[in-house]
Amino acid sequence: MTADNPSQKPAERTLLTGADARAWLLAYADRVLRDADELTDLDRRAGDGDFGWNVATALGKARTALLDLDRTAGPPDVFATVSDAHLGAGGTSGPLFGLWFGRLAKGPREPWTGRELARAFRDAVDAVSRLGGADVGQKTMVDAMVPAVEALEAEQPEPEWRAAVARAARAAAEGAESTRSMLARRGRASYVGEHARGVVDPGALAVAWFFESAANVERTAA
Amino acid sequence: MYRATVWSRDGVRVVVMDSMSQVEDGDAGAIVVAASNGGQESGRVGAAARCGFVLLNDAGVGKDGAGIAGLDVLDAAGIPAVAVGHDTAEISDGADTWENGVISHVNTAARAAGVAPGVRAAPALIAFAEARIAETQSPKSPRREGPDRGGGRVNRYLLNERDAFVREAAEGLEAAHPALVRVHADPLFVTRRAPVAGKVALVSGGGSGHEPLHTGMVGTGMLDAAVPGAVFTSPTALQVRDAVAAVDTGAGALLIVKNYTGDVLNFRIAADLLADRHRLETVVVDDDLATASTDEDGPGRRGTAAVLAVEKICGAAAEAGAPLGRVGALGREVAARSATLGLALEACTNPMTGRRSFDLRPDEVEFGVGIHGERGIGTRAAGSAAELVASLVRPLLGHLGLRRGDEVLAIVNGFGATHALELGVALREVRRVLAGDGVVPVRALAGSFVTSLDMRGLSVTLTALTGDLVDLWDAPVRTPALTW
Repeated sequence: MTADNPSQKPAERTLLTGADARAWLLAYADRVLRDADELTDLDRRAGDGDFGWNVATALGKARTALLDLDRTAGPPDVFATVSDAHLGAGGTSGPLFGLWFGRLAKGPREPWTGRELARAFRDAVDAVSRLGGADVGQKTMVDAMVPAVEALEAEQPEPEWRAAVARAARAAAEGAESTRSMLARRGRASYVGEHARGVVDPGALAVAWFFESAANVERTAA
Repeated sequence: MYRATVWSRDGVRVVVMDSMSQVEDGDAGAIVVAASNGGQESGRVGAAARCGFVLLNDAGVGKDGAGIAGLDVLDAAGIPAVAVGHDTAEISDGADTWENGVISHVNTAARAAGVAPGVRAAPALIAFAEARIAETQSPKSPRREGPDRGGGRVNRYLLNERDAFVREAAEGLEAAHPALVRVHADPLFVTRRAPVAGKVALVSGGGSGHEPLHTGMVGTGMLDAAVPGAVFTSPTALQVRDAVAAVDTGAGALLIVKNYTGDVLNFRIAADLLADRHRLETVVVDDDLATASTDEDGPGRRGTAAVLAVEKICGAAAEAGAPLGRVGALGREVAARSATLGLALEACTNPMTGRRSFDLRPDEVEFGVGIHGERGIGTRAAGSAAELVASLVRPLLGHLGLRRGDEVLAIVNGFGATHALELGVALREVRRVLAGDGVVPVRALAGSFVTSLDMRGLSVTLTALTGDLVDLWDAPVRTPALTW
């Protein structure tokens, strides 16, 4: 994967292929597996301390499954693989991330345009917000997911997907940082009340890492 | 003198008090925050009360460390203990200690549990509590060499690898009932031997430790699939999703969920991800009156033994060919017509730790318990079967608004280690209380169906019946745990 595939027309490189999605998710898994202690530490101060362990376990499984995935797999296959790994994990964040990736897996089989990407992430965050019962401002993963999808939706016309996701990554990182000053009303952090103030929500931080990981996807065609 | 439980979850409590002398027998196993000096006497009191964790004031430490000598006393008893700095919290002020105390000294047991000096006490203690809950609930927790013998009596369980406990039990169920059920591994769920084409599929599940619920209710006229989580832990959304996909033959599926946050979340997420390929309805069962709450944002009442009536009646309707909408409506009707109350004579022991979830004296019962080893709404004086059963049944009659001539289903449910003789006596007493009010138990059942591991105690469920519901209750059923 070092040279462009000459058979792919330049315009198609603006689309998110299955190979791009796979590389993106592998980069995210590597990031979480490397820095899980940071998530665990945040969760220890603002939750029950099992977040890092749960998400790293899920992504460890996802990583193995992604490496086994057929090279012709489309974006939905990639997101479904990661969804299954999270859905089988414990805690509250496992199933909610499973739902998020599971909704992404309902996007089109063919490579995604920027608009399709935005639509899939909008659908996914709406499901997480509805079923998790969390809105922006409650110190949860939603605080990073919502600004990210708003950034994706703002990119017009049809952008190169990396550029759109890079903008989403900046928005997600700001969203995660914004949870530092919040008082939790949902999720585990709500049990410790004021003690979680000053601590970034680990779920929101993981979402920021997810979007940031796309920057590591090489500009190559599969 | 101030004394309050400031934090409580899954049987672990943080109790704050101005003085160690306020510690009570019921604080065995609790995390006790006492604004007393950390001297030897405080340590001795904490050790005698078999506290699970003790926080004291270092009183400026003093000559020869006398102000924190109690930490060593507690260490000797294997109890983690810490002291907060006398300049961070006022001695004899429990509330100030909890809100502002900063840990200055820790004993060896506390250090081993990951509690370090230099941090605010409250979040550190909550982290300790959460870790202890995770340790007792998670099958992934580091395994101990054997049952914990520190503090309190210990019960042993017959098991192999703790992580395999639930799966191996399911395999045993299949070995006993090969014509009825089949175990699917990875993810784990139990289905009827063969799917029934054209029938609405019933899927239920929840944490394990309540057997024979739900796996024992799989079979003709009841569930098509049961999804067991780890002990007292929700099944995963992946298990639920795959179980539904395995048993829905096109007529749709009814998900029957006991009202617990984790169960509801995992079933809802599975349902959401299945919605584009399966027609689904959900019934949430929330029959436990002990958890009646006015808090709109709260989790609501717990689901307990009424789930048995919901599964039986919906199962009969589905078997008779009722469509999904009708089966779902019946389930919600039965749940709304049901109420349950339980009490414990003795707490359950956790198979992961061998530790009893709370202690009762021989002259006490715990009233209003759920099915996860948590304390109930109050410790009451023990009494005769007649007195205890009446204390359970009276609130049910009031809640359901039952009047002279009304017909009910009465379920006397043992919590796991209650003898059939006791359950027989209890059902007799239920009938006597109902007869006093002219309420007619046209159907009744006594047995251990919705258990709480090895808890001694029982619950009583009443379901207000109609003629249709009686017929559905009477319809044939053939499952490992319920057959007529």
